[in-house]
Parts: sequence; C-alpha cells; structure tokens
Amino acid sequence: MKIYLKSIVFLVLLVSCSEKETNSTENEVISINHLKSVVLKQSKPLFGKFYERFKITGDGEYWIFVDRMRDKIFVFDKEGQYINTISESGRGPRGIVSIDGFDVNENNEVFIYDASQRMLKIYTLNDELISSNNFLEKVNFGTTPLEMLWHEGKVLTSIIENEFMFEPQNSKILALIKTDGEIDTVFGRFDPFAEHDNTYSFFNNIIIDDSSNVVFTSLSSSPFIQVFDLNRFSKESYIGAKNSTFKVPEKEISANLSIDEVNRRSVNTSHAANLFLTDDYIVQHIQTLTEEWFLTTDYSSKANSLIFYDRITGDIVQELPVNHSLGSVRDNKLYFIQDFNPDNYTIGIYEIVTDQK
Amino acid sequence: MKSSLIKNNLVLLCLCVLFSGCKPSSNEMYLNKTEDDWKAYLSEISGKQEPSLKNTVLLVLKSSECSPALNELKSWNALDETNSEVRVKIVIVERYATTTKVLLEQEGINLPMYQDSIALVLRKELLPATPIKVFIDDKGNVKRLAAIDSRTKIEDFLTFN
Repeated sequence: MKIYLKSIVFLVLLVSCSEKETNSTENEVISINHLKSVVLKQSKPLFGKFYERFKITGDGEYWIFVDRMRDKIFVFDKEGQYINTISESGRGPRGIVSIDGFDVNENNEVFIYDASQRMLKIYTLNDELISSNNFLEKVNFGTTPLEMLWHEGKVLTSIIENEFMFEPQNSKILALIKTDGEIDTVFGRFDPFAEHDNTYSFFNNIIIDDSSNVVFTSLSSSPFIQVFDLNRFSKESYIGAKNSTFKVPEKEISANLSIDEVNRRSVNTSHAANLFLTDDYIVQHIQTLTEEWFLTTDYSSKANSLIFYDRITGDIVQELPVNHSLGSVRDNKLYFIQDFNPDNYTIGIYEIVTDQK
Repeated sequence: MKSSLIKNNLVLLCLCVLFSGCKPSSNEMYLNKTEDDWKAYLSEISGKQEPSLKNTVLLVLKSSECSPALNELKSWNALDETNSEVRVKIVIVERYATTTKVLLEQEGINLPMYQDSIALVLRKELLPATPIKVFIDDKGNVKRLAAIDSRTKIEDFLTFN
C-alpha cells in the first residue's frame, strides 16, 4: 500500500515538474507560464502558518492572508512587503478571537466573521474598525469556515442545516446575510452526490460571478459543480463529471471510527479544495490527500491539479496537474504557493496560455 | 463530534485533516513502548542525548491542532511551573521552525519543546495519531496514553490505582 501510494505521488511529481506544464484535450491545450515569484518579507509580528487560500484586493495591490497560528489577518503589498495586521486579539471592541470567514470588497473593506464571539466586524485595510455587529446568533445552520464572500454589501456563505448534519444531501446550502446580522435569504440544496461520497462532507467552496450574478458551489467530496442564480435564488445548472481521477473513499468514513482509521480510509482520495474564475474558465482546484499529508499536515505534501471548465458552456476543457497549491486568482493570473516556509513564503504568479490544437 | 464542530464553528482544517474521527484507538501496542524507545526517538529529532524520561509527560501534537488541544497545553504549562515531581515536555510535529515558534509564543507556552519536522513519532509507531499525551512512570514504562483535548483533568491523568 505504502509503495503504491508513494508511486502515485512520485508520478504526480514527475508529471508536473516542469515550469511549463501541458496536457492535451480535443480542441484546446491549456498550459501555464511562470511570470515571476514574490517572497513575503517577515516582520513583527512573525506569521506562523497561513491558510492555503488568500485574497487579493480589486486593484491587485494588496494580498491578504490569515495566519492560523495567531488567528490574525496579515496584509502584504504585491512586492511582498509587510504592510500591517488587521484587528486585535481578544474580545475588546476591535478584538477577534477566531477568524471563521473573511473577504475584501472593491472598496478595500475587510469583513471578519468571528464565530467565537458570533460577530461580524468590518475594517479598512489600514486596520480602522468600520462596524461591529452580532452575527448568526440564533440560526438553525452552521457555516462552512472561511467560505464567506462579499456580495452587494451583504455576506454570502455556504451552510449546513443542523437537522441535516448526517444527511447533508437534504440541507440547504447557501445563506445571504446582511452585515447587521439579519438573514436575507437561505436557499439551494446540497450537491446530490453527497449521498454517494462516503464522507458526510459538508464543506462547500463558493465563488461568485458578479457579471452574471451567479454563485458556483463545489462540495469538497464531489467532482461536480452547482450553479445558483443570485437573482432568483434557484439552481441554474449542474456541471462536471464523475471521472476516474476523482477518488472518493472506498469505505464509508463515519464519526465512530478512530482518527487513524479515518486517515487510512482517506489516503489517496480527492478533495475539491477551491473554485476560482478567470475571464474564460471556471478553475476547480483538486487536491489528493496523500499518506504524507495525514502524517505531517504539511500543505506541500498534497498533490494538486486544476480542472478548467469553459465558463460559458460548463464543459470540462482540461485537467492539468500542477506543482503547487493554488492560493488565489486575479485578473486571469494564477497565484500558487511555491514555498510554505514562513521564512521563505513564496508566491509564484503564472499566466494561462491557451493554444488551439 | 461533527455536530459540535459545526455548532461551535471550529475551523475547516481540523475537519479537513481529520474528517472528524473521535473514537480512541486500541492503545496496547503503544503502551508496550518503553522509555528507551522514546529516548531514542527524541535523540533522533533533537540530535542530542536525552536525559531520563522517568516521571515525564510528553505532549505530542501537530501545529494545526484545534482549540481544545491548545487549551490543554496551557493547563500543562501552568502545572509545570508548580509541580516538581512530574516533568512535562512538548513535541510539535511541524516542518517549519518559525511555525513552531509562533505557535508557542501565541499560546504562551514555555515548556521544553522538541520539533519533529517529519512526523517521525508516527512513522516509528510510537503513537497512533495526534494529539496524544504520554505518561512515562518512574520505572520507565509507558503507563498511560490519552487524547489532548481538555476533556480529562490533568490530576486524573496522573493518578493511578
């Protein structure tokens, strides 16, 4: 088993070891081309371990990371210079205990959802507090941590209803909430694949297409993507395909198993880690949870690939194995985490190149 | 467990890493390990000869553990300052030294610390998973294992009948 897993990882590494990576499809060939790399400069306070995903401001000038060691937001400029941190630790007026959701809008306003205090606080990028409100105090659902986005002055989040914790396929999936905490709309249903994924997963990635006012959702344990209309709050389409490269656990993973058995059953399974948009594509980031990942929880030990969907038709254009985890996408550029070491934290910026076959 | 995680809105990575397994493993093979096994392991990750581990509690966890484990660390940290009978040491499974340093700084932990950058403790099968605390008694036997999760009182963990 170990040899088999190591072979898989080795093959993935071999396939994806060049700077310019290619893979063929019927009509188009997508490759990515390295433009430059930027190393984040450590300052005071030191950051310890950023989550893999980060945000980029609308003008592309600033990069926003969450340090999971400190539960604090760190702001860097696009050259990697440290700018500042946002919020204070604790329960004071500016205080944050835990960061369970955050996003930045076109006005560079950053909201932080703190589930420990059940509060939503909004800051400027310069760390000035704009507002502070109770949030999600009395609701019958939980939120998916970190999957929250600004949408027209409100907060859109993926959810799971409490009564369907162990039947996620029956739960509503999205909630639009005003920044004062009032629920606007709860809508949509989980990906029906949730009934067959063997994991009871309830983590849904979300990304909003502002131009057509739709939201794409991707259940972490499913190869499919759902599309919901944000005007009518109804399901528009269901795209993707069950394929041989997306692996679900062969045996059911339930809460009464030991941690090591859960890990054993999860080795070499696929995880839909994120969704991003470019002008032409929906980009689904898929990770393979390797044995090494379960041993070390070192982000770089997961295998990564990107699935490119045509943004108009929803058809799969190509799957592309890549060397690194995709942290963000902005203005058709892909921002990969090339090195997770906080002393040499490196963002690699790539462009997408599409050639006709 | 899944329910409580959602209700408390604990962060995704705990779920993503563990997929919520909560039933303890059978500990027999790990209780058969000895002080010498642990000394050899700690020497390997620290590059130093280890002194006696008799009457020692080892707290072994990854840097990515959730709040309950980190909260229990603080209790052990406080105990170590008042209790001279039992030594407490911490092993952090983490690749990067700065991550380990920030974790301890943030949590206010000043226990003697070892960094296991390759998860050798799991590869050597000294433990089934993390976070787990290990008590090595005055005869050098691994006397007890338990999850680090703030659910057991420290005094109970150190009491044997």
